[in-house]
Amino acid sequence: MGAVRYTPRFERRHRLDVALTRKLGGAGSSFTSRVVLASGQPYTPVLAIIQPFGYDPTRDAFTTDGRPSFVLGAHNSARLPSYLRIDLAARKGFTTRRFGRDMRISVFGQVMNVLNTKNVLTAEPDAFGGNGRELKYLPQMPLLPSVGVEWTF
Amino acid sequence: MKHCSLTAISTAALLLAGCDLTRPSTPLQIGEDRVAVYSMLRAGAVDASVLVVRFSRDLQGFEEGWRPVAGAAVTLSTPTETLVLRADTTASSARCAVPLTAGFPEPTVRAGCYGAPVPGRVRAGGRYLLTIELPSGERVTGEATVPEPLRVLQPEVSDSFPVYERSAGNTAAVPVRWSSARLPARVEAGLVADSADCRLPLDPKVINGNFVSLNVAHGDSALLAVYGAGCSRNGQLIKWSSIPATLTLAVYDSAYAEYATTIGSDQVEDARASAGLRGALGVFAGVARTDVPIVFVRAPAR
Repeated sequence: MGAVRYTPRFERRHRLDVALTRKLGGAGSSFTSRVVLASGQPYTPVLAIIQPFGYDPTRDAFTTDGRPSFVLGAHNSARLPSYLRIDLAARKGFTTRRFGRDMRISVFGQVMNVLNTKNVLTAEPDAFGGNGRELKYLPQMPLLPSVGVEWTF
Repeated sequence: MKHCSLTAISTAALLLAGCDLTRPSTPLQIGEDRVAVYSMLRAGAVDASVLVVRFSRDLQGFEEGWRPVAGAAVTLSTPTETLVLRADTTASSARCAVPLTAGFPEPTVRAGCYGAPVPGRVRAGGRYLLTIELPSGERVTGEATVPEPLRVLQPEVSDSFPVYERSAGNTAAVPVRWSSARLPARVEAGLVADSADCRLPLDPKVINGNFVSLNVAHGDSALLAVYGAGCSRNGQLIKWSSIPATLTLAVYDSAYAEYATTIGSDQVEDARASAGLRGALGVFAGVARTDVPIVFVRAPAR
């Protein structure tokens, strides 16, 4: 009784996640790629923009301060743009002996979201955006390159 | 065996290089214009009025985003009679006047304002039905029950209160007590100086300088704080010894109590943007006012 049904915030209807790893010559050397493709997550759409009028008992009149207010539709009933992310990583490993000890050194580089797809976490309406009324997006991870070295001794 | 790792992330370099890493905003798509109706039936009023407007989907920022709806057929019914509210294009349609921005001159909204005298006045405890047929074919209906007025126990007529003349800060306190046959849905208190030259703003944290929402959940009393009492004319301070004023206690029905919680919010659910109405945003509700004339007397400087 009184229950409200709505789609969970982080629900995804469809998701394809493929990872491929190819071993290269040399100990611990490899090339890895990962592709994630998913349908958009839900958000609550804007149905209208109003300027709510309130009643002023001292003047017996309705008034408004002119500030806009968004009228929201059914909770989480619209969908954000779909999600695409491709990650690439390469690792080159070798062994050596230094200071009288055997060491294994790996040099690696990876780029997450190599296409710099502008994936979004959620969307918020903004009445005063740079171009008027806008739907602003909160970003997810951008293009994220990194390099590193790893050693074991 | 020990294991160490060192990683350098260069996203900061990309940002410094001016790379755009986030999705640009997109224009907000609004489906359609929305009709809104605003009507408050006041117990004891000699007439009733209804404001019908349409909020434009093209509203931009502080731009005036609504326009009055002319040509609607508006009726107000009680169990025994039906009134036809006609387009009120006279300056007397005070209750349809809407200041676009608080504190600025108030243009009178004429088109979109419908009114009619109510035989025998608006009755406290009366149930009223509203029907609006719009020229576009849309139909709006509403229902409101006008509450009984509060009985004000304190202050009494002509009670006086010491007040300090200060430009800001708490300058006077007015204890208020009331009684009612049933627990009111919402009570607001207003305070207006009888002279247009004088100001008696209430606690600035509240709805508006002139009136405050009182917490009715815990009983039947409140303490009103008056901030910054003073009088001025043409920007010049005026000396005064007392300020006659009117304290107003307004009690609302449950429809307005529900609707009022959404005012001032920058987002509201569709179902809560309308109270007492079907087929439109806005509110159709009832209010009962009790006015008590009181006097503020200048207190000796502290």
